[in-house]
Amino acid sequence: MKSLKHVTGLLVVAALMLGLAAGPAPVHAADDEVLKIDWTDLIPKEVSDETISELMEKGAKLDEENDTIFYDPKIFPMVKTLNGKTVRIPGYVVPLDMELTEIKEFLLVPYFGACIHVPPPPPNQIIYVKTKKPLNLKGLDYAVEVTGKISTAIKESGVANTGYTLESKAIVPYEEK
Amino acid sequence: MMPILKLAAKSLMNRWATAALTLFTIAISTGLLLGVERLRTEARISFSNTISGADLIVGARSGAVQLLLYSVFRIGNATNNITMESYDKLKKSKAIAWTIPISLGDSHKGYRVLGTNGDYFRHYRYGRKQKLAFKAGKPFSDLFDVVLGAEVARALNYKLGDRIVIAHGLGRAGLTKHDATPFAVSGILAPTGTPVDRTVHVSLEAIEAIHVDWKSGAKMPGRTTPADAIRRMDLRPHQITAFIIGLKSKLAVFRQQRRINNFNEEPLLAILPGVTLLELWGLMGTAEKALLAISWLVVASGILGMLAVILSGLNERRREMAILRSVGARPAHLAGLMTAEAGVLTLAGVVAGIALHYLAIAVARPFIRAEFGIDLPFGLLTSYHWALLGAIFAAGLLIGLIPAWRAYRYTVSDGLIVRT
Repeated sequence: MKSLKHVTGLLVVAALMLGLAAGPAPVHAADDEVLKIDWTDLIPKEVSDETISELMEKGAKLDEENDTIFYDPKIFPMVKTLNGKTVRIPGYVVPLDMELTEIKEFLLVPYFGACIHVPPPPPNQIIYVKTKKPLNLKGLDYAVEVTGKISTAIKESGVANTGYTLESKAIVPYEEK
Repeated sequence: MMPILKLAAKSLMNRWATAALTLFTIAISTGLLLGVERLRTEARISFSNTISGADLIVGARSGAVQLLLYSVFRIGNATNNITMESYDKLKKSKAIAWTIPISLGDSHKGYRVLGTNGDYFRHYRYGRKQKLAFKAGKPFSDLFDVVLGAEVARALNYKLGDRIVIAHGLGRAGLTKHDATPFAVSGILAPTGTPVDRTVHVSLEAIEAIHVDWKSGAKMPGRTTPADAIRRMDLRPHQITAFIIGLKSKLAVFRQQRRINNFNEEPLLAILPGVTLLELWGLMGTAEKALLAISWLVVASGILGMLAVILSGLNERRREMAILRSVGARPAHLAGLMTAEAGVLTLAGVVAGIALHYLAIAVARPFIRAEFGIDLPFGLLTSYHWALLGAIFAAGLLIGLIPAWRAYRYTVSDGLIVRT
């Protein structure tokens, strides 16, 4: 009888090891898979640096003539394949509307001082984050890591506007490793 | 345990004068700590409460915090004005949903006068996106109509239809009054708990109207244009002090900010109110930490004072200890007694401190509301506050271990015979 127990034990261990060896699921993400990305992932690989700065300049010229400041999504490249994925990305917080002391909406940008930097980050380097649980921010110069579902196309007030938006599930302080 | 606590209480009552003084120092220090913490959090809540839903605030180029303070909180002053041409040009943008122009520089009995238009009552939001509501009356329709904030109406006892005179400049005493053009109260706003309550609102045209006889910053003597003549003049405003912008899409905020900051016809500054508010708190953070550190030092001195009092009394109480030992108390009991005394004293001090801080709030509240427009509610203590109070009690209890130890040593060495 002892040997039967040993055999069962061995079988259980073997099963567990096989399960572990099957390993982490491959990275063509399932819907609940969290993709760890950084800011360069938000710019399509086929677009060069020069194109981005050209587009920023062209965008600025369009401003004065038509007095609009929208970046046409057809002109400004976004990474469409990220649409609907759950991602995790670190960044700095630019608070938008605050309800009392709670930050429920903010822009996530790659560097601190985006609002005073000239030029500001291009539209595909800004993420408009909405969070149900208010963010407790230690200071503007503290980075955070945001996890949530990102989308690439938004249409507001009948005018298409370029930018990533994200419904945040979790926000934690960012620790440099 | 209970007999020791009872004994501790009775023992303190026996020396009630000294005990009361010690209790008082602990109460004051606890009240101070609580008060400082409450003021800090309430001030932040109050500041954030003041404006909501605004994406950008624009003024003449000065500093971000300065612009936020004078435009929204009515603290401090602008360095310059904005021409109406610039405002008209900048507000024409497909990205902008609404704007609110404001004009500052005059006062009434120390309350700031704000020139604006109907957009203010339509679009201004505070707190959790709350609209401005009228307690009585309505926005201005006549040229010389004025809408009062709740606190102004209450403090100066104004009602609908009352006539008031506006003074030039922002001093408390209106030395130079625009008395040829008295205003009629057309509306009184409901209380908001923000600086809106301390503001006197008139139309932009009215600001032009009251300055008709003013040339180069002085009221021309002997020249007073009657109110009727003023009404017939062209009173289109030439300048404003600042304006608030609501955008159609938040993603446009950086571009719009840059457009305004780079506007080459006039030096302007556009700020994001949320960002600047956090900058302001960052600045205040150092002062707050210093205040908190000082409060803790005061608490420490209160507790050390208690220690000094208990220790100094210890020598005289050796006979008392001997008596207690003779009726069966063990040295450990006496050590417990000392600790219990310290604990009871600290606890009573902390409770008195809580009462004291509420008293201080009650006293300070009307003054702070009148001076700053900040509402300091009584509120309940949060778990953070209870943690602070718990720390104070624990400190007092721990300090009590020192006389406990000495009492233990004394009774062991004295036994039942005290040689003093």
